[in-house]
Amino acid sequence: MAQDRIDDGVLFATVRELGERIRARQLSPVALTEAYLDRLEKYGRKLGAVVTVTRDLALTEARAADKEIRAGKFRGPLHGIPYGAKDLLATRGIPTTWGAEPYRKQVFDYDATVIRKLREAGAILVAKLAMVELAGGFGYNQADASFTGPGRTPWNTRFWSGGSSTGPGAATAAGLVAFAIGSETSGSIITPAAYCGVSGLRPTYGRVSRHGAMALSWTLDKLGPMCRSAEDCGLVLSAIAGRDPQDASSAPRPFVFPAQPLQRRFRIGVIKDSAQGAQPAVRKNFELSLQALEKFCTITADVSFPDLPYGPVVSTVINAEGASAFRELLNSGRASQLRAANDRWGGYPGAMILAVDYLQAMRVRAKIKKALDDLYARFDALVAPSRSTVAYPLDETFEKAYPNSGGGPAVIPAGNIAGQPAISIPNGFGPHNLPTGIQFTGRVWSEPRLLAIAHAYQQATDWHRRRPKLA
Amino acid sequence: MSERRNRRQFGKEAVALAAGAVVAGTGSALGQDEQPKRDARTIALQALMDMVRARYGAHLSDEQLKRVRQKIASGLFMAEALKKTRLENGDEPDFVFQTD
Repeated sequence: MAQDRIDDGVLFATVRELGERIRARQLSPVALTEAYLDRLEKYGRKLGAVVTVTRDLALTEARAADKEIRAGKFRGPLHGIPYGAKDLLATRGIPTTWGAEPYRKQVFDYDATVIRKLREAGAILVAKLAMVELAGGFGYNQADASFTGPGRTPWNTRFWSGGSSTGPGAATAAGLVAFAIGSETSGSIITPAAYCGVSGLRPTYGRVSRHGAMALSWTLDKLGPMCRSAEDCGLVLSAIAGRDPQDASSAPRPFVFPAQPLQRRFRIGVIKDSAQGAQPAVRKNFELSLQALEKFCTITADVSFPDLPYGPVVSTVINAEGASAFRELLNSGRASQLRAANDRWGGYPGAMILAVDYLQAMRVRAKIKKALDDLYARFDALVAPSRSTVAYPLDETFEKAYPNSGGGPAVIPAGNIAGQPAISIPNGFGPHNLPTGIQFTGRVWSEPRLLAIAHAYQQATDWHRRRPKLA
Repeated sequence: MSERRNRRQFGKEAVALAAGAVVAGTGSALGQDEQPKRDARTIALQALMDMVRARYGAHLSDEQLKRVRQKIASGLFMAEALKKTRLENGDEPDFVFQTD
């Protein structure tokens, strides 16, 4: 089969493109894996993107994939495709560190369901990718919040990759993997997708099994793909979605991708004031995106977001559930080993949330879900800038980075509280050559529709094809 | 009120509560019926901090305890904000207990 030496350009191809070449036996899974492994070794640690390069496992899986494909047994579009997993996903015999010093030597004797499903799909695990310690649950306010150091966006390595899926964002953007699996409790896929200029999908809560993934917040955590295109997100989600008896919250909902084409234009609502307070480049890119969307969407401007206490609900839930999930860590005092100063004390307040206050948050949450579902029922998607700024500089705390930007409706917390899906895709660049993103948010279980809209946008634009130059 | 203004408002009041600020007859904008609420918050904050010290005091420096106090104060304000959403007896929490 195929060429032995892989051009760097190939490593930035989409999963679909790579899969087609592998199937046509124009590309060897072994050569492709070796190329990604070499690139991970060369750039992974410089970007703060890698915890463990899984070279031996990857080459074993690559050779197995190669053998099967030569024998005509093709498992699907992910067969022979190298990927990275956020280091909160259990991988048998390989450290799973949760990005945190106290768990640096932790090794599980089983694989997370997502890892197992990707193996069954023929994908090849090349790396455990860096993350903000404990997925950011203790309130970090600085980029340097992992024992691997700060994640850096490959577009300008003086700036943060975004978190908590720092490694998946950076590695995908830098062509170190063909795709990655990230996670989101409240913002941890959407933010690095925006800051690294990749396509990141937060699925509906319950779409993907959480078995074997570190829990920060049992009722908010979601696992999702981070890729170089929306279409790739659909291909990866097809492999990892589905009911799992080992995760009672996983739903027996079929995921049909691609969706049946609509016989009408998409109906998009623009969330009112979502760009107010955004940096000028973010706002300008958002407005240009709306112009591009107008070609195939019917757009309703100024859609008011319900005025509900999203911040207090999401904070109460994350803080209480996080303090419970990490109770042993807090009791032992080992939180003092965490990297970010705020994280060393930040988990303790959650342990003091009264049960009735947590329950109040969960009761209000039900009302938020209903209000948002009523709103979203009128549209295929609501759109907003993914973030109001470009990535933060590494040497400032978050509140000091862009003090004059921000505000507007709490789109990310609201969507997470309600368990709704969202996808962030790149839509341009801002200061310091840093990417900006647009997010499409939808009703629960509407991933096929969101992916169709994002895919159509990417067929009309080429932001997702841009590549960072790495030194 | 935008999310950002909410956060700023919480932040200011939480800092004041955490610092033990008492506003009583100072001519501030607070009315008399705000006083019992403030005292209740202060009492709650103190009780929670006593528990933090008892359970975790060995793991936290004085500076960290101060930060913990501020965050708990902020949490108490958030809890009060959540009480403003009207709930009926039949409004259940958004999870379901099931037997197998």
